[in-house]
Amino acid sequence: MDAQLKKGLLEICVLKAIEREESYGYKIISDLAPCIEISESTLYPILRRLEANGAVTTRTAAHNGRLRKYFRITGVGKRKLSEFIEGMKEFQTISEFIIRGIL
Amino acid sequence: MTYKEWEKRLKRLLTPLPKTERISVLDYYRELFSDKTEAGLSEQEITAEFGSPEACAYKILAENSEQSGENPTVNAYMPRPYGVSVGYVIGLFFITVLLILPLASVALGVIVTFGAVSLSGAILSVAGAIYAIVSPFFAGGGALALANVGTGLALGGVGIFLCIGFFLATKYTAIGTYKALRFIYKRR
Repeated sequence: MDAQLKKGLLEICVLKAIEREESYGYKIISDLAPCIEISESTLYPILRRLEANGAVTTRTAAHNGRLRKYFRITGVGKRKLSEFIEGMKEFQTISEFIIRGIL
Repeated sequence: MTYKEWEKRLKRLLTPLPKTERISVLDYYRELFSDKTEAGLSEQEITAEFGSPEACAYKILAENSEQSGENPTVNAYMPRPYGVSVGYVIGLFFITVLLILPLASVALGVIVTFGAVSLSGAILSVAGAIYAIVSPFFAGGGALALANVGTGLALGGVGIFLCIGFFLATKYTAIGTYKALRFIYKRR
């Protein structure tokens, strides 16, 4: 898959992974694994970018005597996700045309 | 590779980042390491999964320069003709010109100065010693020869003393240059 396309998709996938409940680095990677491959060094910049854009908020909590950072989706993040899903409908029509040649 | 070794290499590679950002990256990997350990993976398996510290640092540094240089919201979806941004290349150029070259010059200066002073001290010591041995065979030169040995040893000592001074000068020049560079980048 095209690297830039994958980069954009990964951001949306991460938002989707934390849509229902807050999550943390390892769990996000594990949850996405069956759908899309994401390495640790790829996830970090995505989370930082989402946080900088206000799409996620973070909190640090104790777990087994150490700290763990949890990510929670914000209103901005949810809007971004729904906008992407809307855009996908249009994309589906285009991909149908690309694959079949006629609509 | 043990995790400590892996982390140490990554930390060194992330030097261009601000301290808070560097700590944040290291915390992130430490958390993942602990979570993977809890999941039953060995230290070797985890560092292998993380990949080389060089590859990790490259991704993080490239992303960091992209984010600080351009609008991040546009950035995420816009196709980019090159893997490395122009800002990153300009940054590397400035680092080379402002940091590496002056540091290399200072380091070379220190080595040459220390070498020259120490060598002159050593030569004087040896010459004085030879003179001290040889001069009794000639009329009344013993005292002067001993004085020369003393001068030689003193100059050797000055050489070591100067070395400490130059070491400190190098250190603070490096820190000063780094801070100046950071200041320039934040203003950009």
